[in-house]
Amino acid sequence: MKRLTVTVTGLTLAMALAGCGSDNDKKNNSSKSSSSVSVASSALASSSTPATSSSAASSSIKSSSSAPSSSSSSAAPVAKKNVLFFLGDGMGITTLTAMRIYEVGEAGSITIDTLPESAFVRTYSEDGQVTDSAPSMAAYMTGVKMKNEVISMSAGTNAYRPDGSQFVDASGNSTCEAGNGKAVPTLLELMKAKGYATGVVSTTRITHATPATTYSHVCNRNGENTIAAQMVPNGAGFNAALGNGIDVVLGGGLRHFLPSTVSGGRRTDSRNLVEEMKAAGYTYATNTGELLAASNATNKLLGLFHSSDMSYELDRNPIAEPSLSEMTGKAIDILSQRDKGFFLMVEGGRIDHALHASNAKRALVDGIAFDNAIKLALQKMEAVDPGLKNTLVVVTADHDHTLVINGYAERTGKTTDNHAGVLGLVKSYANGPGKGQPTTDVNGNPYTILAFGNGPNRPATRIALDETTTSGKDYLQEAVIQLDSETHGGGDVFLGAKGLGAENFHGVIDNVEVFGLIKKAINLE
Amino acid sequence: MKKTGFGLLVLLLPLFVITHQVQAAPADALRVDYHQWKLGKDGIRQEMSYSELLYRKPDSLWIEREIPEAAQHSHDDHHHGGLGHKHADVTGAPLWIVRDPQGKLDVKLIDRHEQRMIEIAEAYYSNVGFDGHWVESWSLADPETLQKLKPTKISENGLETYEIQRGTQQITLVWNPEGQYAQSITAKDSQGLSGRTIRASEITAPKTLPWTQLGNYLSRDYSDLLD
Ligand SMILES: [Zn+2]
Repeated sequence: MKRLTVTVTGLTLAMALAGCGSDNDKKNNSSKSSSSVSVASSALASSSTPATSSSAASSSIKSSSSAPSSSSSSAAPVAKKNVLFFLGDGMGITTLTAMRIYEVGEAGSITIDTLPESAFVRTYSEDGQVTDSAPSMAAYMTGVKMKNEVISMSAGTNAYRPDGSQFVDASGNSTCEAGNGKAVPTLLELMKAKGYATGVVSTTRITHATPATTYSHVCNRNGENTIAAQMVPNGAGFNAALGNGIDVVLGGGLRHFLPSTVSGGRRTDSRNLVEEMKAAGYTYATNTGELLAASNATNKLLGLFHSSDMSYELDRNPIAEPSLSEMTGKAIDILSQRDKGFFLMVEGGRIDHALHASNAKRALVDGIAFDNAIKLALQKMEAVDPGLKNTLVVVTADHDHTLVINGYAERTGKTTDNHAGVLGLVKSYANGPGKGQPTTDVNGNPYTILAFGNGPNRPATRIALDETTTSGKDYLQEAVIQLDSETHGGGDVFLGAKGLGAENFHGVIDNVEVFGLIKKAINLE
Repeated sequence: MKKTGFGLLVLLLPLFVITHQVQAAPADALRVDYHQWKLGKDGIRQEMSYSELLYRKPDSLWIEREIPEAAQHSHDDHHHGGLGHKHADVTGAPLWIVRDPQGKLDVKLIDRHEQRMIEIAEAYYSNVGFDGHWVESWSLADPETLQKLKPTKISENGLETYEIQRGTQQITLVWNPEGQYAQSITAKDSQGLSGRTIRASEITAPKTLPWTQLGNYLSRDYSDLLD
């Protein structure tokens, strides 16, 4: 907010007098984040019993011979095919580079860097040079280019009325009108119809734009009450294309499942969708322990771990909220048990939110949590399907942000508790007395390596920053143009792929092409 | 020094209640003027000033920027679209901070245009210009920190002046112990390239406190404003 720059001056003084509690805060948080990483890796060791290749083979035979409900039973055993689609919301290429430097230094590799196939993806929408998450993820999921803020609807669908108002009420109920576009099939729906198991995992509200595009259809993304109702089997407003329902649903957004008469509930139709989901056969998890305790043979699993978006990785209480890795691992453990293969969408959804706040640290830590989820998924899938012969893993972003890597900074290496790394100041690389000293602006003030094209922190007068400040968890990087919150960017995004049909992804492609390339990989007609 | 003063105050409190009922309580409303200037290497001097109103109850704090009428955007300047998730215009909107008995803070941004109370999670405090420090926001300085220092002067009416050196910054702070707020804070750097001043004065609190007028406001999350 604009409030920031001006208030900072006043509060900075007050803070200076208050002493240095912030140093302790910082230590606590960095140790918290490193311990949560170890939680994730121990989850890998303990929470799962990866299917052996023999059990995988026997269940694939079972699927061809004895699955009565399978519509596509044939004589020969069919290999189980799997699609894992990982979406880092707002994880543009600069963010990816910054994530790498933050975690392993300039020359290191995070998991995303190890994917063997890659492409650049254009992300423009039907009406926007710069897209939001609704049409960009919907392009991946449906192959249709639609307008900004539209969720999996035909081209031409409008999120706004001609008078500029949106097709949604203040409570989050869709007010879309008949004739304003029609639903277009999603990858999840198509695979569900072919008997695949399906899963949707996100750190945002599960009704937020990215996950919503996989299972719902609405002309305006803000109709999150309506979106929630679309996933509830047998309920009013259910999306019948989901058959007997999504098999695994994990994320935040409880408020859109509860009636407004309950504390924190947002539903104005007095329905309790959690109870309805339970009645439809879902096991319900509300915290990490309950998630990890869910049997891998669970038929249907719903986990809602926060009223709204789940916490940033940097702030997460590991007992209350599972990590993205833990959610991803449990989803794979359950879905890979099924007779047929599966579709799983995993979103690192809050990279985007932290970038909107121009808070690079939280964005990078959430980005690394996303990368760790990919790492765990690859390990688990190698156990289920060695060599990923029948498994396609796609990792991409829906759009860019305005993050930049500024100046001629010397190499920083990775960020540690007492080394700011890429969260620090630009320092001179050149030999001589100035080497390692901050490079300064025209007024002699140092500046940070990471900055934004727009955002809330545009100081009226720049001041001398230090790295303790800039690497703090709440530091907001400076921006060129002052806006209340930072916007998306229009640059192409990176797509990495591994496994079955990954080689189809290369060159510069349009986001709508991804849909067809995934279908081609698994012969989905 | 401060501690004995406090003990004395406790002893005298019954007397004060009788004779100085109004003055003995912390000030419940302040107007705070901020001013800051800086001289650049290019010879250009930049100045900035603004004012905020603070309404204070022991566990509730309202901070509102004064926005002159000419600078206020008109209600029709933007469209109203339900949640309007990415067209929020909350620049300079008031902050309402409530502290529970455990010291946990509840921070809300008040969007009068859209009649929304926007819940600010801790991760977004910086985005609304709040540093997370209750006492320093409420009193403009932390009295406990001041207790560790020696006032260079105590005026007849009890105002305490502190001189503090922080790096190249020379800070002069005048603390009003009765009203429980920093009456002025002046900071100058030793080279004369920048300076900052904060001045607080007591005003009459409105009869109806603003946080009692939010009955029909919708509750929203800050992350609703992000897409
Ligand atoms: Zn976004």
